[in-house]
Amino acid sequence: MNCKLCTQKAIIDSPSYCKKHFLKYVEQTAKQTIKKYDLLKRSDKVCVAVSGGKDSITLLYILKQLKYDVEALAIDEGIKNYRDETLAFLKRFCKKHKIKLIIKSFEKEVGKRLDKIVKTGNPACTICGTFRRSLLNKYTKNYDKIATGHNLDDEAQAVLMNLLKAQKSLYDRQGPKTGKRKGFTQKIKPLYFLKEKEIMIYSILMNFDVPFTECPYAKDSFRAYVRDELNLLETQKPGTKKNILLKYLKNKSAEKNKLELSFCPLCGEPCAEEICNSCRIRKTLGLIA
Amino acid sequence: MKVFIEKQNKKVKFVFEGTGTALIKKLKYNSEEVLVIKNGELVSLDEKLTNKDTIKIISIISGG
Repeated sequence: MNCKLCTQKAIIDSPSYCKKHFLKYVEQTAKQTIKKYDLLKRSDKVCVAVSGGKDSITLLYILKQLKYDVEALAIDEGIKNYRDETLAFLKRFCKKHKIKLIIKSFEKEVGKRLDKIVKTGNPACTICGTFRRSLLNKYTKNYDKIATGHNLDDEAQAVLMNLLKAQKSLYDRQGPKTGKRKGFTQKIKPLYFLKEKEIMIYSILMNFDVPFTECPYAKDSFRAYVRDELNLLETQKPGTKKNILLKYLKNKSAEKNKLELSFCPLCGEPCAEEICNSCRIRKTLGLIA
Repeated sequence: MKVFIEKQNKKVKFVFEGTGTALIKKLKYNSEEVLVIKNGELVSLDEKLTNKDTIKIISIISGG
């Protein structure tokens, strides 16, 4: 099969592109998403939330290439034989591309490594996600935007997960960017329309040499089940994932999030209840009084 | 054909001639979840693979 734009051999089937045109397609798709959904202004100071995986590395690289003012923030959850390797890679990558990298750890910020928290029978993904979101918001107050590497697969999964759990408020908050709310740094997702597979191919062709890692706690998550089912559907009916997002965006409720927010008396972060979720978990775990 | 499955760090050897899609099916993978590297180069799934080829199967799924 040849590239649909030239006579070179295609390296991917759908869309069928050669290496050169595929790289251009990925960069153009991210650029168009930024433009269409008004994700970034030239003057914005952007913090890219990085894990050291292919998605966040690709995002960091593309935003830097597009000459945005970017810095990177990584969260070290404290997961043995997983995070150490990706953090070492991140340090090398950021040094090579002259990007400032900030690392915050659960151990210092929360009081315990995730491995230790999970040992006492606590649900890894819920706790990890809550702490990560809280730290990400806490340390990005001086930035205009937080850019995350969420891709088309992640987002289609999130739409389905929220539907299956009937979480209307979360369902309504999906999309290429979050709304602006006091106390929150706005989050943007420039890779929203790129498939996980496309980002993987991009990172291979660019020789990023991203270490292959899978979080040991992710395997049994609800997301993993939704992902597998969605992948099955996509092979039987190509385009399913993109259609989910296009239809979601078309029908998305324009209703603003009316949830009243205050600020957590313990940490100062925004919260919907008496204290924020992160402090509530820390209290339950005995990490704060 | 020599096949290295990266995720399982496993090497297998068997007789096979056909496309990347057929190989993925034989190995019981989903084409959304893996990539085929033929003799060190990424190839599209309609690429013909022969017994002389060295194949690497890369998993796309990761959790960050």
